Amino acid sequence: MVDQADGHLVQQFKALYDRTYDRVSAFVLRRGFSEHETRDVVADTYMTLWRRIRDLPDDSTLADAWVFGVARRTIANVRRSEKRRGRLAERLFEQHHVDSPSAPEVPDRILQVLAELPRRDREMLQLSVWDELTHAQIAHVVGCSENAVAVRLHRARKALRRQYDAQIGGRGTS
Amino acid sequence: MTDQRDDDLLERLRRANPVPAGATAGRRLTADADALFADIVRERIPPRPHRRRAVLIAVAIALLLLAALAAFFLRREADPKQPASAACYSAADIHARRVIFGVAGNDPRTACAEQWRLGNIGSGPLPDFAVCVLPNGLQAVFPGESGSTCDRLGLKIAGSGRRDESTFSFDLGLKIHQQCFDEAGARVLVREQLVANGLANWEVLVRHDRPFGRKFPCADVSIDIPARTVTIVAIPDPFASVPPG
Repeated sequence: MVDQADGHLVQQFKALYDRTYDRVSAFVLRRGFSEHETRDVVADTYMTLWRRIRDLPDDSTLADAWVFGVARRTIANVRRSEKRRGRLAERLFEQHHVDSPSAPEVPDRILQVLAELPRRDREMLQLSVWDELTHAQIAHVVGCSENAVAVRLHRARKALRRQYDAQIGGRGTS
Repeated sequence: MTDQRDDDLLERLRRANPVPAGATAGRRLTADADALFADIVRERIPPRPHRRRAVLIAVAIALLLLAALAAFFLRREADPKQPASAACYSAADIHARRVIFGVAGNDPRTACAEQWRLGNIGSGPLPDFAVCVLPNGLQAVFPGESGSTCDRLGLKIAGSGRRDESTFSFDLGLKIHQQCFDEAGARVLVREQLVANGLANWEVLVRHDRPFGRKFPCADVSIDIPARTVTIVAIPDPFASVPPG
């Protein structure tokens, strides 16, 4: 039972939950989890957030980033405990097309290229391009400075280009 | 050119997003999401981590204080100033025959003197006693002069260390200036103070080049610690009123 003193925290948590639930679900799905697994990861993420609700940043942009940071750590914990997910990066391409109803019908080879990037580059591109987080939010999620995010993103873009050219043979982007 | 190609590639990546923005729209409105929210907020929120940390720090400080208090009392128990027992030696030698006796807060010299009188530890006239501290903390009473005996045996002087001589000088100076002592009275006073401070083997001299008399009726003292002598000196009466003019 939630007592009176925690009432305002429930309100705070509800606002955060309403604001981020859909995006966090997408965030987890994009990391290769099935619908069923995604529900579990999302539940664990919000349970952790509720236990630490008193540490919630006042700024809503940072608060949202904090949610994604917790989701990211929850995913890392799940992956550590499930060794079968050790090769998730390689399965990213096919997984998305099995589980996601909104995925393009014809798989884009860019996904294969992405799956073969180093984990750090891949994560930067996912957070920026797919999750549409700002540099400040990414910095909050991965625990580094905004400048570091800018540098890492620049490297990730170059890595994506190099990998793409190596696979496609530099024949263009289409 | 390269930047444009990079931008194109990123745009292609964006379009290939397996779960595009909006694909999960409306999930929050499902019964599952509502049920999850209700389950989560049913759990009581734990106290702030820093409050727990503060409690831990307070407990640690309390434990440290308790440990300090315990150490203080243990040290006090073991303090040779308040020993439960002492050893009385038959000679100024750490390997000499000895008797261990309870002192119960009394001066161990007194107890040791009693052992001498009873013939339990030595014989002959009562010597001066030096009270030293053995390495194990036990007080040890040796026949001999207070300061030098402990030094020679490589032991610490018990109680207030070398304060015997200084206490004697201070006490004697205080007492002899309280009133006008004649020669005999001064001798008695000096001897009492020497015995009281474990310095009974000191020599008491009288300066004869200025005898006691009407002009110099009172006693003062000159203490020579290295020579272990107290010299009584006749001085004018310091309490006599000075005639005007």
